[in-house]
Amino acid sequence: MKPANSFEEIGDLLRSQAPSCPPPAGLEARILLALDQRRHPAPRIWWPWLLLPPAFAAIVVLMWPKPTVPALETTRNEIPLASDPALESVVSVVDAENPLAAETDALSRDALRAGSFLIDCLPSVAFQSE
Amino acid sequence: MNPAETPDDAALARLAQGGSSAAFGTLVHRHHGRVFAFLLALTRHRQDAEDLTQETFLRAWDKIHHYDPRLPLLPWLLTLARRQSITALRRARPPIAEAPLTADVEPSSRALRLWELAKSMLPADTYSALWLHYREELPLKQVAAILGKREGAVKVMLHRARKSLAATASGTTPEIEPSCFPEPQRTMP
Repeated sequence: MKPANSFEEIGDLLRSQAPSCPPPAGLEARILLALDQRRHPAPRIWWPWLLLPPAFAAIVVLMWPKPTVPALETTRNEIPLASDPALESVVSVVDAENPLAAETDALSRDALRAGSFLIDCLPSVAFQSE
Repeated sequence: MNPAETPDDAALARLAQGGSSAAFGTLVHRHHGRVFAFLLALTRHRQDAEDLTQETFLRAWDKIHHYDPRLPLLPWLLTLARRQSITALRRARPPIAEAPLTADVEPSSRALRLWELAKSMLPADTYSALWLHYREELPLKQVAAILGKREGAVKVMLHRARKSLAATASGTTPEIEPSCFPEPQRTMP
């Protein structure tokens, strides 16, 4: 059997019989299953993504140990005032008098002067009996 | 072998475009073998060819509304298949050496031995072009469209392939791998 030595015959020889490459037995079923899964995807469960994070955060907040604040020690440190005898005598005199008494007297005197002035400014009214 | 297009493909495609999964299932039944064979010729890896066949039909279902029913269906499917193989090559893993498909069966005819020789000595693109033109009997224009090449380039590719096959087949055996070009079994007279 002579091999084909003319490349024009090669084409005829290739066409005359081609190798058979049968697909695997389950390939068609696998393709149809993949198509069906694509058309009808499994419903995605979405609610855990909404509820779980807040629930976890709430648990963390509730379970978190409360911080203990240490008791503050308060002390009163009274600072002694410096004492000056001369100042203390003046302060005592001022504190003894009514601070408004001088003002009251001054206002009274002003009022008397203003009244006298107004009386002097008024024309004298002479009663003339007829 | 008859051309891929059958009169019912267009009608089934129109039904599939309307949403009929049964019509698309029929198309899968008709063409999955040929798509697988083409991808096997292209990838030379059986597992990859199976995965890519599945991906091709999933892609075809997603893009069925892009298909023009006035045109043959098989070239459109094979174009999608080739694009899927390119995408897979971009995420390629190291190729695993695979035993020849017909390791258990020795080619019993000149034609089958020639196909084995072509598979062993030709690059994947050239072997695919040979497959599409001589096995699927697609015209050069469709072969070029599927492979993403110009028609003239495909013609030159096929011419060189035939020439090298003829030279190798008629020449001495050192150029040929013994496992790919076995001696025919002599039957008892």
